Amino acid sequence: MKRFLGYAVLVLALLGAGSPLLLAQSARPDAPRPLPQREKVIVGMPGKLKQNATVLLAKVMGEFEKENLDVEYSVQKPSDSMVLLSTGRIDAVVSQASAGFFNAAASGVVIKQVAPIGFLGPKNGFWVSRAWLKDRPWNPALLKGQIVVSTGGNGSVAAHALRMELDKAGLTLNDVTWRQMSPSDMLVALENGGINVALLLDPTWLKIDQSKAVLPFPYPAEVTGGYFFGPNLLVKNRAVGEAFMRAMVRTQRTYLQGNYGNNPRVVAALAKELELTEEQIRASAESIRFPADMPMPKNFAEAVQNTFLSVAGLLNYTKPLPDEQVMDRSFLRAAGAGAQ
Amino acid sequence: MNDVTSIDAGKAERALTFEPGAAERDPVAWSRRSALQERLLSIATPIVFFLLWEAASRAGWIDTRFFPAPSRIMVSAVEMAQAGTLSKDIFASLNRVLLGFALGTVTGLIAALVLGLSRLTRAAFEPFLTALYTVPKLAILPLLLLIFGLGELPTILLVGMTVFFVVWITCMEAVLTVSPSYRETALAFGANGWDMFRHVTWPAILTQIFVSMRLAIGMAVLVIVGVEFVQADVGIGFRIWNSWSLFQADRMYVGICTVALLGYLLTTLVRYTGYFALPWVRRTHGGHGH
Repeated sequence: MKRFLGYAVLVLALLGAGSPLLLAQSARPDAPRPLPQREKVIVGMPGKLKQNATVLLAKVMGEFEKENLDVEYSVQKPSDSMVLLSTGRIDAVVSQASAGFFNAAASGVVIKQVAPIGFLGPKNGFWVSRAWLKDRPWNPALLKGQIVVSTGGNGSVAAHALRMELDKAGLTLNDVTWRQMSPSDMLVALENGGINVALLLDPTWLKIDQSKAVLPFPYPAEVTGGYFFGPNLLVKNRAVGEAFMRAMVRTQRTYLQGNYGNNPRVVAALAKELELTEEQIRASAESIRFPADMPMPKNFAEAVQNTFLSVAGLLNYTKPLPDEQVMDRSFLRAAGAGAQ
Repeated sequence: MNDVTSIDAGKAERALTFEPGAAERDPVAWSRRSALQERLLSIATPIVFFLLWEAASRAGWIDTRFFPAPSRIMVSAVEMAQAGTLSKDIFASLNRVLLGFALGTVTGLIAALVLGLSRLTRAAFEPFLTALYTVPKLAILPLLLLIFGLGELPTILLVGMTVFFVVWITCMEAVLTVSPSYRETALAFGANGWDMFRHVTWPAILTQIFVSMRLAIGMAVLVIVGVEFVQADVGIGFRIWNSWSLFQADRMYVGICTVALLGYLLTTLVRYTGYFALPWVRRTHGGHGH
């Protein structure tokens, strides 16, 4: 009896010592809070890309399961996914603050960016042909009159990234011509000298022959895509949206910090989802960063809109939409993230 | 009045009476009325369609963000025409279509004649060409870009390849189905190879040549729109895709209507070219040009 009482006291003491820790964890804003009933969320994306690693890992690592969410992916072209999102046929989308997104928002469609995707690392960006550059030192003025090739064209956030470089030489987006090509076509055309400037992102840049092309200026890391919610999660079912965001924040903080290439579990999961080898995942682990606080700068939307407004015909309106009409940081804040 | 008596064994006879109708009583007037009727229907049907669409948009029955009213589309078309965008896109697409069409038609016709007239050549090349025919042409675009680089040539070649197969298959079959009695008659009159081609084979296949061209021009327009979706910075297909990406549905519909109109005009042009080039076909088929 005495022995039993002794053990009971010991157990209670241990529980008492651990309870602040347990309480602290459950009090964390991104701690799991399962929904009362299982909810399905359909996420549209252009493909399984490394920048979308957070949403892919959240499913594989069971973080969505902890929130009682059944998440399904739907591969769609960006233009189609925005339409499906605005009509409520899908609930969330991995995309970017493109001209199409701003035009949709301006037309009254209820869609907003709620979180950023991965930040591009130093090897992503506008690569140029060495045959064209020759031995000249890089000067942004060389871009004047050039054809710039990307997958998204001048209506994508890449245009804003290029504009930041063009500004240094007093040039505008009207001084270059945009052309769209698939990543593999861009790679071949750049190496063969068919084009001089191309935007190569992870994992395309990994395959470039660096004796034939060079990256002359860094791509601004903060110019990135995002996760977008439509009317289903913004209005009809905010609790589901908050649960989704908690899982995302937890995933990014738990599995994608530091050199996640050293985490065999993360590497194996990413290799399977992205259909790459584990070696490729480890080699490119630093090419995309996932900040723990998932920042969404306050002036980003206005700056990108001003870029689009500088090119005739991209936007259907003449003044930037207010930040709160296109960005919603409340889901991130509820999950304890969302630095500005 | 024609009385026809029907005979059915075991049953009473009945008289069937046929009275001449309007077509028999006044064939010229009837023909004129029919042509007018058909012309009015062909114009009225699309007008009614667009009027219904306009009414549905104004009544809020359809989402005008994705299905703008025809009047809105018209306004966008005028704006694009004034900005010069529309003419630039039409010119770019038309240029590609016409060059590709010319290339494909000439090469297709040559292949049809060579394979149609030579048994051994046909045996050697027909299976290979038939297999190539089924390969989606857009799948070959990256290879063409790799070989020929950027520029208009890969696009024109892709259109040419599409047209080639349509013309080759149709015209080769026409050569193969020339009636043997025509050949026998020509041989009886001492025709040599060139005489046979000039007086028998060529006139016999002319109708099918124009049929194949009419099919091919429509497919050329189809292919160019698809190519411009993925590989262009100007053109009607590019405009359609780009407008959709920018959530500018009205401009997208301007592109769609433009491509439909372009296809109709080009097909009609080919049809009427055949109509005037083959007067004996016109006489045989009653002169409606159909």
